[in-house]
Amino acid sequence: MNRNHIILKIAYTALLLSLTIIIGLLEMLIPPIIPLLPFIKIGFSNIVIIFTIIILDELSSIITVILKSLIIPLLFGNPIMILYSLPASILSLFLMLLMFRLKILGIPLISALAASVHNTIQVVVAFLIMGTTVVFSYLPYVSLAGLISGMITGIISYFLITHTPNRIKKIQDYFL
Amino acid sequence: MNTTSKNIKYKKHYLTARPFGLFDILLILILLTISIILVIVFIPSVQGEFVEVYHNGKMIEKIDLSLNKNYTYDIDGEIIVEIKDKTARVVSNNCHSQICVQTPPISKVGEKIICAPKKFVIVVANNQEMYITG
Repeated sequence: MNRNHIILKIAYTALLLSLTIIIGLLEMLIPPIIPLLPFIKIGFSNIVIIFTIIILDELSSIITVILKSLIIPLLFGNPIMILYSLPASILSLFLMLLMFRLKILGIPLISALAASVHNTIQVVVAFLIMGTTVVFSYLPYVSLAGLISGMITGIISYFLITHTPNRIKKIQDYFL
Repeated sequence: MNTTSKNIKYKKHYLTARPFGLFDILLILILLTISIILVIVFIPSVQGEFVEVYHNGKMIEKIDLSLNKNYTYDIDGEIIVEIKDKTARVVSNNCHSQICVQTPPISKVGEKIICAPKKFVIVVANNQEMYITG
C-alpha cells in the first residue's frame, strides 16, 4: 500500500462514516415502525458497515462503527445513548467480522445474527443501567426484530455489493 | 501478513458468493422458530402501573391504573377507555370492526389493545424508561 492509497483509504473511510451518520440521523426522524416498541429500528447504517468491510477493510469498519456510535448520540441525541450504542455496535461488529472470516454464512444471515446480538446486548445494557429484570421481557421481541431487520439490511447489502460497479470494486485491491 | 491474506480471501469471496446456502436457510428457520416460540412463551406477567395511550405512534396520555375512571378520546369519533380494578379496556368505539371493544381487559406490562383503523393503541407500562438506539 503506497502513500496515495493510504490517503484514499482515509478519504473513503470518512465518506462512509458521514454516510452512516446521515442514515442514522434520517432514521431518528422517521416515526417508529412498531409504536409499542418505539426503540426498534431497521438499522440501515448496517448496510454501509457491511459495504465498508467488503470494499475497504476491517480497520476502516472498526473506526467507522466506533465514531458513528459516539457522534450520533452526541450530535443528535442524549449522551447516555452512547452506553447503549457503543458496546452493542462494537461487539456485533466483531461478531460480524468473525463470521465473514469463517465464510460459512451468506451476507443476509451474518447481518441478521449481528443485528439480533446487537439488540440483545442493548437489553443487557438496559438491565445493567436500570437494574430491573423487567427489561428482559423485551428480549424475545428485540431478538426477533433483530433477525428480521438484519435480514432486510443484509439482503440490501448483498444487492449493493454485487451491483457495485467494477471501478469501485477495484478499490478493494488497493487495501490488501 | 497472514491476516491480510485472509482478508483478501473473504472480501473476494463475498463479492460473488450466493446470498443463501442450504445451511443459511436452515439456520434462519431454526432461529425464527425459537424466537417466535420465546415471544409466545414470555407472555406478560408483571402488573402494570400506567396505561399509555397512543395515536399515530405518538403517546397522547399516560393514565394511572389505580384510579377507577373513564377516559374519552375524540379520534374520528368517540373512544372510551375504562379503568376498573387495575385493568383497562375499551368500552365504546364507533368504528365498524369493534375488535378493540372485544379485546379482553388488560393489566400486565406489555399487554395492549389496538384499534387499527384509527391507529389508536393503549398499552400497559410501568415506571421504567428505555433508551435503545440503532
